[in-house]
Amino acid sequence: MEIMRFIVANSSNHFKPTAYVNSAQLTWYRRILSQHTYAVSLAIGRISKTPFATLLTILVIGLALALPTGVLLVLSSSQALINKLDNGTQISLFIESTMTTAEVQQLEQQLSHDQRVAKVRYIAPSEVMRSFQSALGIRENAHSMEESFLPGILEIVPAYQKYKSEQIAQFVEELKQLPGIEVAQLDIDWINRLQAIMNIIEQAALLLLILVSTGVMLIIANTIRLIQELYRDELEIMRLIGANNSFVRRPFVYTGLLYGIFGGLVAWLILDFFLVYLRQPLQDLLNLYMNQASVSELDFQTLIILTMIGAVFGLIGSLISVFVFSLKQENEIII
Amino acid sequence: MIRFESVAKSYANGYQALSDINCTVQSGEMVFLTGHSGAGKSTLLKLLTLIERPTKGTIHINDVCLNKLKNRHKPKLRQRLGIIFQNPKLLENHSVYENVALPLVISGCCQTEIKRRVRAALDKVGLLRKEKLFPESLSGGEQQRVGIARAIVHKPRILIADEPTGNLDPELSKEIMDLFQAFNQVGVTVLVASHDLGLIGIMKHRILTLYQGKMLSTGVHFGNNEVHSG
Repeated sequence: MEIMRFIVANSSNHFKPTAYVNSAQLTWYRRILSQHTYAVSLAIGRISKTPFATLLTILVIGLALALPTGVLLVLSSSQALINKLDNGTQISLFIESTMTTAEVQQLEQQLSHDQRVAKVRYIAPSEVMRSFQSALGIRENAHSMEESFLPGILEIVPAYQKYKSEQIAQFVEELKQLPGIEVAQLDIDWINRLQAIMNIIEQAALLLLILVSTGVMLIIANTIRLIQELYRDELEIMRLIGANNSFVRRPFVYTGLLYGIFGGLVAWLILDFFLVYLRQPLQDLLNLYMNQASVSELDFQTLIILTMIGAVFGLIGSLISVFVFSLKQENEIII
Repeated sequence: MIRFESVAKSYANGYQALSDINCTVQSGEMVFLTGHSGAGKSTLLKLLTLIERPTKGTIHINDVCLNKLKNRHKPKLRQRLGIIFQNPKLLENHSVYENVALPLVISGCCQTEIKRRVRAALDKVGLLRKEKLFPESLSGGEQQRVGIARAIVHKPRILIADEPTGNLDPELSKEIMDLFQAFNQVGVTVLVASHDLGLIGIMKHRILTLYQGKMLSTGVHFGNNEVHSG
């Protein structure tokens, strides 16, 4: 109310200087745009005054962001690999030697109608013998061995597209109960163990991500606090000639934002570097399990996500700084 | 118009900086505020620019009671005053042009208008050729003139100066006082705190005298002893 009266009282055209050119004032949106442009230029100007310190801050943010992101990226790639391994597992049913061929065929027929079975194939003892012999390199006495020495095998490819691993494991348990089955074997124990370890690492990475994120925000908040101290005189002068809090704080918020964005960019570069470094061993590993798999490159999307995460951290950090640390400065202006 | 009514200012440690100040500065008037060091000149100006609040009494600028003005409205008030400090308080990392342009940037002027007004203000203080320089490469007098250009660039109706000639030689001081007088002649209310009695004596303007936080005199033309009611 008082300020309105002040403005009204001042708007009379009584004195020459009162011919304040109001038309020179920008429309509200252009004023906002021009003040934000000014804030950005001030922010860039300030951080470019201390290039070494700025570089260090950005590197610290980049490294801090790269660590958990890298772990999560490796985890997600490994997860894809594990899923693939998981899906490649077959169930082997070892048939008791007492079963007749007709019974086995009936069982095969029965299994092929089961929803959980994608494919079923009977490997007769003679066939098992042949592959056993070729594996051992035995040729001469092939026929002297008794065929009953080895059991027939029903090889089942489970329908992994439709059922979860747990359901398949349950199915194996059911198969074990069938008459004439000596052993039902699904070799997924080691995968399950690996999965459990991966889950622990994933949880740890998420915890690390939370800790590091908090750290990054605090680093930015503290850096902005130091810059505010550095420009304390400038802020006082600005306030004295009529700058409001937003005008004074805005450049610092942009500084934090820039730190975050560049930090994200650095994190991306670090991860890219590591990926280049690890490409060959990773490719070798993938080739062992998948024929056509290739190591994915860090794409543009990852860059955008990383810089956006950095920007958000920068924004939060700088806001913490300007709201927590600049409160004390409000009434400390001294002529 | 600026009006002080029974204004007092004391600090938490019990120091009484000002007590029972009553005085009025009419619109379009030029007035000097004098007194020895520690008399309360700066405190009075701090109250006027809302750097500090009075402990007692009321202060009005153009019928607006500063006591009632909320903190969030302080910037708007300051945007309409021209304030000059003993130490010119320039932004060291910014050029002369950027320093002078700052009040206009704050109030949201367009670039063409900023350019025109900054040039006009710098021309007025004779520093048009130095707009690209930085404050550190200017002499004390030049820095003070940049401070003045910054204070007048937004065409304030009230100009407040705290010891603007404190660090300058007599010749430069006179030049700067003449500059204030020129602004006053076009209708600006000018309040200058100064202890340079020799200089303000020849200016033929009303002088407010402070002594140990009290207003000793509110209306003496130093030259001819003409008394105005305060």
